[in-house]
Formats: sequence, structure tokens, C-alpha cells
Amino acid sequence: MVSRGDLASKARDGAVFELRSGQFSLMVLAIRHLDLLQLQTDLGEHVASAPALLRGAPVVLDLNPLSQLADHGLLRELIVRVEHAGLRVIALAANPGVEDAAAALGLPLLGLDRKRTRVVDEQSAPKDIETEIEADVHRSPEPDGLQPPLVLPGPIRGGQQVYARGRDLIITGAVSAGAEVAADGCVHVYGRLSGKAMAGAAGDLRARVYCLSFAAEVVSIAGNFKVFESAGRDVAGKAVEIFLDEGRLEIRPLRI
Amino acid sequence: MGEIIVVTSGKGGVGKTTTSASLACGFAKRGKKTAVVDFDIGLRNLDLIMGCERRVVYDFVNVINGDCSLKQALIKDKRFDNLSVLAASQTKDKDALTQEGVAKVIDDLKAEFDIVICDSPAGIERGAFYAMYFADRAVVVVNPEVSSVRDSDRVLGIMSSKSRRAEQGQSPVKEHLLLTRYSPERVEKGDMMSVADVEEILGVKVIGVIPEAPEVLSASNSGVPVILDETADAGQAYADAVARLLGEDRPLRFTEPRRKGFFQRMFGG
Repeated sequence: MVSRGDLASKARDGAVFELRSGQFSLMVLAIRHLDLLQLQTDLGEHVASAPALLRGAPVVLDLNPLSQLADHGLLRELIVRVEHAGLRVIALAANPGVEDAAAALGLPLLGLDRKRTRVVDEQSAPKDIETEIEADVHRSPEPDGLQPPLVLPGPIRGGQQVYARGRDLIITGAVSAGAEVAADGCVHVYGRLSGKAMAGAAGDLRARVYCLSFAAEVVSIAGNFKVFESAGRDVAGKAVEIFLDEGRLEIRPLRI
Repeated sequence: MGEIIVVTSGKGGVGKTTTSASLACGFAKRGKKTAVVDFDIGLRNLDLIMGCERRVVYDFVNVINGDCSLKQALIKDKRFDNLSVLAASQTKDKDALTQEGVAKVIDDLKAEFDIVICDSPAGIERGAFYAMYFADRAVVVVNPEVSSVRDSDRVLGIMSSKSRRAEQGQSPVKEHLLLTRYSPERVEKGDMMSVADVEEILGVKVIGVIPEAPEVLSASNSGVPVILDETADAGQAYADAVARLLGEDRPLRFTEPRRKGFFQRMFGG
């Protein structure tokens, strides 16, 4: 006779699956006007401006305040446009009026806490498209296993793209002008950073960028990006740390 | 087995063909059995610079298509009997190159010669890709100006990720810079990037610095590679580069502005 306690522990050890609550940051694409052609053009340009971050990225489509208008023919057309522009619609934000359309398209509905979303990039967002980040409240009870960083020797040359999914990126050398280095975690460059660097590419606001000599063209953290036509004299050529401070990109020289 | 050296740059007009011709003559003069191959299919030039344009019967594409043997297509140089030229086709375009075809020609040349120099076309299309794909070493020709430096950076990146050595996980292609059209006077005035600037941006050392000089153009026009002009600075600079590629240690020359002597200052010079 096996006691209930034994059964339970057996299930824990040899179980095929485990249901856990996870936490994800997702981009929310909020549609402000129903100008489909304009949407595809503007969004396409937007994606092209930060391909490592945005190309193929999953988004939740938020139709508010246009939800009442959504019949599924229109919605289908809208989703096609968004996907042509380079993003992937994985769900709809729950708003009154979209339930039938979502069911017809087989898309899940996700509850969205609007107070907790924020605009990803203030500088370049066209007026009718805003890309937002949602931070969900469910916290995973145990931390996931430590992912080793992706370590690459430099130099990363112009035209090359590197992306460290779900981990930090460490480059032991320079990043040339025209190169793109991106990571879901932090980006460390032990050399001159002349190209584009993106940390927190999946939306982690705590990710940071470090380099020994700053000359970057573009730096982005969790989608908040800044274009440096010329680096300020206080940071140009210096070892710096770049991080988000209340949604603003801050660059601080490192004392080493 | 011979060594494959690609002469490449990304940007056009920086002196790839001039360099290929001079390096080829330089290696031959130093006793190496050398072949130089023009990969610029459709825009062939190397035969002109080598001065054998009237003796081109068969070309690279003919060999790939099996119209003739490699031996028939190789043109023997009149100055060095250990130097051969494989001309590009003037009538075909770059689509005539196939990976298997180029691989076969390169492997046959490698078996026969000590040094095989691949003169790459400009750009990063098919011809340039095949020229670099099989390389053991690369001489990246750079002019001391920003667009040339950027294009060289791109080419170095492609080479480090897409060459045969990279694909087969062998030791990487050995990279060298060759700075051409260098004017020490303009560098001193701050109008031109210095050797150190270019080395720092690209993270690769120079194997030679060729000064800007009128002899280079006249040598190209007369079909006598400038390295054969032993009185010219540019010719000596190329000879130095060949020596360094052969592992010799030679200090850089012609990188400092020429100081005018007393008499030159008095009477003009």
C-alpha cells in the first residue's frame, strides 16, 4: 500500500511537466488611428531602425480606443499589416468588443494593466503608433538557472550582428562602426564601442551597457534608445556605464 | 601545398590590382613560384597592369567551363619564368563563377604554385566573395580615408565569418593591411588619417605603406608593375611588403615627410 505522501513525492520527482507562473515583458502595440497603409509604412520604418530589437518581436495588439470598431475582417487586415512591417502579433489586449474577433482569429486575450505600461522610445515614436512595455505582476517563485554569458572575441566588424538571447553578452575586443551587438541581459565591450549596442532587448529595464571606450552610434536599453551624432566630451573615448534612470538613458564615466 | 593570398578592399579604386601585380612580381623575384588570378569577371584589368593583355587566349571562366585546361589558360610572364597570370573573362559576368568551379581551379593552382594571389573585384558580391573564400591570408588594401576604412572593416568581418577557414573551423584567415596612396605631408598637416589611426580603427597591423607617387600610375599604364622600378619609393615600399609577407622584419619607410635639404631650399626642388 502506497501512502498519499509517497505518491505526491513521486509525482514531484518524475513528473513530465510542471506548471509554474512566469514573468515576461511584452511589447504592446497600441493603435491610435485606423490608417492601415500609414501604419504599415511607419511601423516598417520603425522596425528597420532597430532590427535587432524589433524584427520578429512578439507584440500584444491593443485596439483601445478603437475596440468597438473591430470586426474580424478589419482586424485580420490590421494583423497582416503589422506582420508585414516585421512584428508578430501573439495576442490581443482584452477590451470590450474584441472578444468575438479574437475568438474568430484564434488569438488569446490578455488582460492589460494600462497604468503599468510605458512608452518604449519617446524620441522616435510616430504619433499614431506607440510601442509600450508591460511589466506583469506575477513573479516566478524561484529564480531560473543562471544562463552563462555569450563571450565573443572582438572585433565585431561593421555589418555584423550579434544577439545573446536570454543572457549577457561579453565582447573581448572592439565593436566597429556599423556593427550591432544586442543581448537580453547586459552588454559588456572590453574595447572601443563604435557601433550600436542594445541591452535588455527583451525588455529588462535593469540591463546595462558597459564599454572601455565610448564612441557608440546608438545605445538602447529595453527599447529606450538614444542616437549619438557625436558623443559628449565628458564621455567620448572614456570607459562608461549606460543604464536607465526612470526611463531616461544615463551615461556615467567609470572610474577605473 | 601553396598559400592562397587574397588582395581585397571592399571599396573600388584603392589599388587592389596594382598591389596584386606588384606582390606577384615581388614573390616571383624572390624565387617563389607564383600565380596571380583576376577575379574581376567582366571587368578584367590585371592583364593590362601585368603587360600581357595581347596574350590572353583562354581565361578563368573558360577553365571553369572546361573549354580548356588550366595549363592552357595560364599566361607565363616574360620577365619571370616562375610567374603566371590567369586572366578574367571580359565577355562573361560574375555569375559564370561557381563554387565548385572556383574550388577546383584554386586547389589545382595550390598544388602547382608556392603562392597564389587572388585579385578581388571591388564590392562584396560573388566575385569578391569567391576571391576571399579560399584564402589563407588576406592583404586588405586601404586608402587613408574614412570610406575606405569602413569598407575594409566590413570585408574583414565577412572574411572572419564566411571564409572556408571560418566555415571549417580552421585557424582564421591571417589579416594584413596595406596602406596605399599615403602622403606623409598631408598626414602631418592633419588632412589624412595616419598609419596609427587606421591600425587602431581596424585592429589590424600594416604589412606595408605605399606612398602616393606619380610612378605608380605610369607603371600601371605601361604594364610594368611599379615594384620593378627599384628607384621609385613606391617600388621599394612594395618590395618591403613582400619581404614582410615572407616573414622578414623590415622597418616602415616613406611614412615621414621628406625634409628638404639645404640646396633644395635655396634653389627650389
